[in-house]
Amino acid sequence: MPALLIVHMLLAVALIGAVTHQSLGAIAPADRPASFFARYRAVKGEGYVNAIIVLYLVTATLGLIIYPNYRIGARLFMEQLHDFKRVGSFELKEHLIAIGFCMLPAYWWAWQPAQKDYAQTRRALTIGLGLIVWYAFLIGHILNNTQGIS
Amino acid sequence: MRWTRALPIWTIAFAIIYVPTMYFNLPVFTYVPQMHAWHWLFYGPPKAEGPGMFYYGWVVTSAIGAAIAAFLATLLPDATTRRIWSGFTWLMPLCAVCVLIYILRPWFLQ
Repeated sequence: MPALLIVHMLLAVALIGAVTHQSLGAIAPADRPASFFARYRAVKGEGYVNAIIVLYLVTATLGLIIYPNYRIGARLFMEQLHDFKRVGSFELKEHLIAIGFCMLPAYWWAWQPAQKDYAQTRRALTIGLGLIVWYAFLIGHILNNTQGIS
Repeated sequence: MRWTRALPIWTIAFAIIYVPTMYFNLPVFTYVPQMHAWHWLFYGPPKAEGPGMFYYGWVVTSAIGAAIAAFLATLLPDATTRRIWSGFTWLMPLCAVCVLIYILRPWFLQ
């Protein structure tokens, strides 16, 4: 299980990098890569879509495999400590992952060349997905520090 | 209607269905991790079996419901589905998140 957890984390890092690149590129696109930050934003978002969807699905699937260990291990431990805020943070994480999953088809659709007119929708979906991925990553990391899955 | 038009409908429908599915606990199946056992629909395990997990079941319930809604949308004329605002694809998930945070607030107020 620790190996799965590490692979889950590494895939999440790749996902966070891709979705942050794409989000910043969508919020403030840079035409001329004059600085490091401009270069970071000067990416073609279309090229990230399939990679982000695959990474999201694989990372979430690994999370679902690991989840029962959390449910009968770390969560019970935190409940005994009356650390309900952390338990609630993870509850929210699981729901956000489900909502992010439901956004994927619309996200893919919005990034198709035929949907050029829906820039605002495309931007909002990308930012939403980015925020979900960031929240899930940070909460997963914090909770793993509380009691790692063994 | 092209099948790709069904994708945003699936997203909108999933977000709408997920919240009541979770709130009223309507999973397609329940998993009991301590026993490695799967049960159809809602199953409240006795204390000796440990906690039940409904999350997987909620996601599948919502996915099936959304798939039915998306399929029905494909039967509508193109002009009708084009009239649906594309912004609902992010607004409905956003509303769902707000309701979920409200439902989960007892965890943060204890």
